[in-house]
Amino acid sequence: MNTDLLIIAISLPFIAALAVPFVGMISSKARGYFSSIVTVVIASIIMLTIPTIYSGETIELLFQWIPILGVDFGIYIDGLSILIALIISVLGALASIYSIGFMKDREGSNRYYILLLLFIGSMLGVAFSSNLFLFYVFWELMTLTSWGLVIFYQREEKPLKAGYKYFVMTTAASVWILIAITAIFSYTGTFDMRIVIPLSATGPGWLGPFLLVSLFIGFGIKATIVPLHTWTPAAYSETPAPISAIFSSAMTKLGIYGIVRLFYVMFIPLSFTYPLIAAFGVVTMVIGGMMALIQEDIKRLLAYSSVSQIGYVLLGIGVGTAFGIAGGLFHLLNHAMFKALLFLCAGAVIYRVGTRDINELGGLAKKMPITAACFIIGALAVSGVPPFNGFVSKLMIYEATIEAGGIYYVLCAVAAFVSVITLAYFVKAVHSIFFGQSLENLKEMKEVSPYMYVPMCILAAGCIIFGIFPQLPLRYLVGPAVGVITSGVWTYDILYPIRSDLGIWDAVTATSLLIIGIIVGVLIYYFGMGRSTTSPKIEKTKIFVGGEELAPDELQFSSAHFYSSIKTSLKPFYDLSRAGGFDWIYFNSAAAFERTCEYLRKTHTGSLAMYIAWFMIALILFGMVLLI
Amino acid sequence: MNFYNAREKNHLQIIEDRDIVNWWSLFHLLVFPGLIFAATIGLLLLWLLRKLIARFQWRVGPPIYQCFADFFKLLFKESIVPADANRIVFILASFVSLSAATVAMLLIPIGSSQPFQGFMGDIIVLIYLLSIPSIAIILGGSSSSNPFGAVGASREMVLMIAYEIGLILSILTLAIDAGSLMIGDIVKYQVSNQIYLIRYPFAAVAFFICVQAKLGITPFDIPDAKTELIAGPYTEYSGRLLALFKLSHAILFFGLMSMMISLFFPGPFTGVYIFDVLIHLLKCSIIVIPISIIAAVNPRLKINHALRFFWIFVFILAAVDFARALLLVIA
Repeated sequence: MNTDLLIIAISLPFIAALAVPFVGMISSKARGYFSSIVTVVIASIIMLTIPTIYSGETIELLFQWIPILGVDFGIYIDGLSILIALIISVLGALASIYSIGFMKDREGSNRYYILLLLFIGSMLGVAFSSNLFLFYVFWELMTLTSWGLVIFYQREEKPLKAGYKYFVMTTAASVWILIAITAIFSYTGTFDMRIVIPLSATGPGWLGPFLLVSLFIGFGIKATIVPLHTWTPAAYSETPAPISAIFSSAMTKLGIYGIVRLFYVMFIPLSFTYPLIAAFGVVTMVIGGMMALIQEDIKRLLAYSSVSQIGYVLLGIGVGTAFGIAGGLFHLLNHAMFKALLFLCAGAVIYRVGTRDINELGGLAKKMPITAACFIIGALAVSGVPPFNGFVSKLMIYEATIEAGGIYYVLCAVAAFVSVITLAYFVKAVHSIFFGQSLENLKEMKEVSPYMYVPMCILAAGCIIFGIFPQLPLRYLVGPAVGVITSGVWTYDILYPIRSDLGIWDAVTATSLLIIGIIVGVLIYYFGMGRSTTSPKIEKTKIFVGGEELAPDELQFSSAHFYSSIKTSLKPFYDLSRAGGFDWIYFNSAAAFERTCEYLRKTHTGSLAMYIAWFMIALILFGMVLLI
Repeated sequence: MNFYNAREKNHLQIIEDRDIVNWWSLFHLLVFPGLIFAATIGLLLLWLLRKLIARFQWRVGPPIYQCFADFFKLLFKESIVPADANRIVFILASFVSLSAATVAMLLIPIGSSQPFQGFMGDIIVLIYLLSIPSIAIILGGSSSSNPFGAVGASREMVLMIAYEIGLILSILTLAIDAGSLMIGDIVKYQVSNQIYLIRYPFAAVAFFICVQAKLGITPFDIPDAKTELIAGPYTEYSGRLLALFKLSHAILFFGLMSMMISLFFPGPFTGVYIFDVLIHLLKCSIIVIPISIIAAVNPRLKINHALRFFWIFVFILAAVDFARALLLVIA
């Protein structure tokens, strides 16, 4: 592997971001093509790296950066970082291509493409950093650029509000991470991420739990772990669709990456870590799922769905066995694919129709067949219907939980139930957007441009291929990543068909049997048709409503009523969430912070004499400390 | 890093290789216990159900060939698709439903302790496969553009949310107790120990109720409530497409009866396979009796009542035995 290429891949987005305004001088469309070419080049370079990593090597590059602190600009690529980097770069490329169509007639494409490229570049930097200092620098850059994208529609009120919330929460996350990094540095004396820190034997007794909690909060906010998820619905729904796709499928994955990298690779963790992560995972998936069930804004629904799916990833890695981590990381990869697909499809619908409210949509499947097909594939994949990819990773997670036993049995039961909830809210979404009667104002809709549907089709094809041939991603992508965590205990060559002590799932056989079953059904159909005395054609008629003349609005079954029985049954829970729910943590901590600041403010009276007095007191105290 | 315990090493042991793909699997899929056998028995069982309900209500009831006659009548009639419907999804739904029900039959043991295509972890796959016919009819009803179809689809989905938790808990109870996710192992464990109907009666009852809901038998025929919704999600289906749905429903009926037998009271196995299958079929017909009594004496539930019933009553039933199994394993 030529390391020059990698250096190009890492620096290219930043250089390209500077070049965007100049490219824009040629023509306004050129920016989209330019950034697409750049991101495709990056994605190809990272794909070219995979064989090297698969063969068991790691790539290290070092440049001197800040000699005083002993901090180098270090790049380190192993199986885990290449998995995340692949997700980032491929989705970045697809979102970029999609943006050509999506941003066609919109203002601010200069700002959009600059931020997009910087965002992708900084996320790659996070994944490739070899020391915590660099990791934090890129992390902050990622936070800032993503904030710029959240408030992209800066003339409207809602994006600004969402952006404010996002900014406050992610900055809080960064502060927690910074504190933890400082603590690590002060006790180990190095920022290097490749060292192993036995938490129970390093520093004072409180250090281990403190590091775990602060990092969990810090990464948890980015990874949208309940109750740290509250920025997601607003931020996901107010950003442009390709950006929400990247948010959901790449940026939240960096939160998981942080947890895995620090908790599983760097630390030798404390005993309670794994069950705690798994329990948070289950809470996350349940709350996310229940909230998604009642959403009527398509992007909010997808946002809560992302939260819920992150729960599965956490449950998988929270089992702590190699097989469980493999399931979790595979679900991470799968989730990146189908959730990006769903966000892009939703973006296509919003692009055409201009509304996110699913009550105002309906019957779009006939007008936008490709989008509808892609959305249905994504919905089935995320619900874990065989033979799509979501099923395989969920099966692995279930099996890992059963294998682990004890409390994990309960978690497995909950996870299996949330799978039905997932199906339920996607049924609602599919029905309200694509099926049903087409509304009057939607009669003129047509399919989006190829720039938008080709990325969707690529992702949809990926969902099917990874579902039928799960051994490919498991061997070449997930396998090396798990190998990093377990120091190669888990051999992936025996993974076809998927084996744990409990399970063998042969996706190819199952799929071929299902296809044979469908063919048999078709044969029965034609058998009946051959003997039929009536017309063999499928006739088209009006729908049957018992002979009544119904008005158009009566023919539409609104999504608001779809799960009204569940809404009434779980009224207390939904009332709680409507009343602010999980936001109380932030309001309370913000209030506490404000009160603390009030006390501090009293010291800032503005009188010079007072300040000199403070100064003298400090000097005396300092002198006393030194004397003692 | 050495905190991964020795159990991890087991992953390295090659589990015995099974020949999964062969021509026999095609025979199993199409003839026995797949399409032809399961459909025939399923249609006969559905007849038995109808006949019993009729007798309980002092009616004469249909003759034994009625369900077959219904099926072939539909098969030879034309199919009609509404002009506004999404044709591809509408038509594909019926084929997918049949296909998934048929493939599921390969994973259910019939008169034996071993299903025809059993593999480790098959019971989870089975739960998912058995949910595909429901998903198919939900999407089919939804894509028909008929408001009755949409209401029916919504009810079917809510019902699915309602019963799935009981189904999962009761199956997991057995999996925990037998220490295996393989339906074959669960059967073998019962043959050599004690049948689960006696050890976990609550789970058995919960599973039994959930099966009725899954099959949409009164009092859980909420999605296709004939008096309110015409035929719910099936409203726009006619002719051959409806015939395929009837067929998959029959297969599903037989499959779920067989699953209940394997999970809760398998055996006794005589050793002669024909006799074992006959005993199995006899047991299937015995289960139909309580189902028909419940169907004959109960009115249809409202969907929100059904939801509450499953989330409270059935959930508690299943959770009691789940907790017992958990305690037994941990202790």
